[in-house]
Amino acid sequence: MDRRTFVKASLAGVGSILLPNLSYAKSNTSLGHVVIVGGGFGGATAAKYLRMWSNGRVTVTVIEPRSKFISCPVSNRILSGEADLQTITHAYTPLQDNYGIRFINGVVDKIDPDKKRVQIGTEFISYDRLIVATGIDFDYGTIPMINAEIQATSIPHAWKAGAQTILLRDQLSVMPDGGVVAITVPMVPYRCPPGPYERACQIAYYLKQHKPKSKLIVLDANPAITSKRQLFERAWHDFYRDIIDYQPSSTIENVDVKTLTLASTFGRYKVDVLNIIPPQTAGRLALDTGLGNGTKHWCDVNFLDYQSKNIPDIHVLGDSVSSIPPKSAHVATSQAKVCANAIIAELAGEPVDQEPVFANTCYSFVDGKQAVHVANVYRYNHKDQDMQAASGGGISARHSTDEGLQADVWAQSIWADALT
Amino acid sequence: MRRTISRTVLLSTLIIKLLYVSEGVAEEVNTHIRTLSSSCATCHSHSSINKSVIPTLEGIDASYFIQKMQSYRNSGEEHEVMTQHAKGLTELEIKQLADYFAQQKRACPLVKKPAINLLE
Repeated sequence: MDRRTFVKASLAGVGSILLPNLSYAKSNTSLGHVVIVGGGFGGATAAKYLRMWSNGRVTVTVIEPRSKFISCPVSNRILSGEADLQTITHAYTPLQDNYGIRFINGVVDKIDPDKKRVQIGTEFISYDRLIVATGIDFDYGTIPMINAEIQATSIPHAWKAGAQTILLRDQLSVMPDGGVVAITVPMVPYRCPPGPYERACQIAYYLKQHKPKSKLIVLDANPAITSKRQLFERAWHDFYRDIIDYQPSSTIENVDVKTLTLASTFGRYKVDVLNIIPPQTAGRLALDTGLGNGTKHWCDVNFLDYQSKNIPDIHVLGDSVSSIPPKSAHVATSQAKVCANAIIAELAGEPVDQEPVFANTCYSFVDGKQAVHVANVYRYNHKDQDMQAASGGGISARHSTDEGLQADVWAQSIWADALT
Repeated sequence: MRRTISRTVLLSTLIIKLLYVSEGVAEEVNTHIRTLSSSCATCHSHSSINKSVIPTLEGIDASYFIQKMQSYRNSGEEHEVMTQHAKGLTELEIKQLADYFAQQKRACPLVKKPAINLLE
């Protein structure tokens, strides 16, 4: 034994004598294993904050089919050429390297709540707590002529950013000047309430610059614009009144997928580019597992810890949740933080926060540089057992470049918060 | 020898005390405010994103924070993002957020990757 080894050994001995059952033991006691299905805004944020706030005492595994994160926020700007796929694509490696989160690139086939494990192909992974953060799925029940394959190849939804965003952009770029584009908007609730109207702005902005004789028809199943209404109406009037034709209360009744002809409540349209945003539900896995509520479309949770009202030890986060706050990225990340905080407390046998409060801020671009926002604080209401909007929230006075700058920083910040 | 022992005891007591203190701080974290503050961090990022547009809040002077939030609450600019957020918070939450942010050095301390694989 040389001197250095001896010193090391002695110090180790001293350490074990002086510090029995103190911080070392405590901070290394595992509180359990949390498996997260889905690495979107909700799932990724829950993973990071579970590790960070438990000081590494909660082990976290994320199961995600994509090898990289692709952001829905900002993806509409790809349609106007103001952003590209690279801008909205982010690696998961910082979460793995900085927080010790295990990522499995795969699809969960089945959740077994009795055995508390999930199945990926032939592999099983056990959990103490499961977080289902699988986002949305599409419901083609009212439009049976459309399906996932048609959407992937000719009539994109582009409502999960990625290949279909690029497909829609490319369809717009080869369309002749004088062509007709249509967007269909489903009934609420759906992911990102202002998203379809921001998309209309971005497509119209592209057409105005490059194909000014073209038209954009917005067929909205809702009786009016569902979010930031006055702001979109003003922007459309100021910038795109010769391009956008907005048709409220227009449900799709038929679509000829070969000729791109669609019939709505009030009209028949032959178009060149068709963007059908279908009605939505919670992720299929959540519904197949029995996490759906009475409508079988969304999931009911306890808003103190996001635990399912149907199955214990399974939490549901993000767009799959039936809630008053909108299905936005900021709400998904805020829910994830409340959920992470509660899971750590529950696993440690400590009291759970009974008064969760969080913010939602959401920006939409109305052209290349100007944006508008909606902002609210949401607070847990004990009587209704739901998150309710606090007083004082609201929207911008009008579009501005100031808010465009804020929107840019918002996007970079939420990506950094969720993913690094 | 006796002196050495008492010194060792003193030293170990000190170390234990220090550890208790640091543990104590960790345990006394107001997790309600920590969670709320993390919702602010969605826009007010800790990382080196354009802070001239949306400032970082960690390390901000507590009384300055309270004064700013009060002026947002009292301002007639009801369409401003921060007026809308400030009006949704209680006076107590603003005070607790001020104390929380003032004490922060870095909003997101890194958790080191475990040296051993804790999984399976």
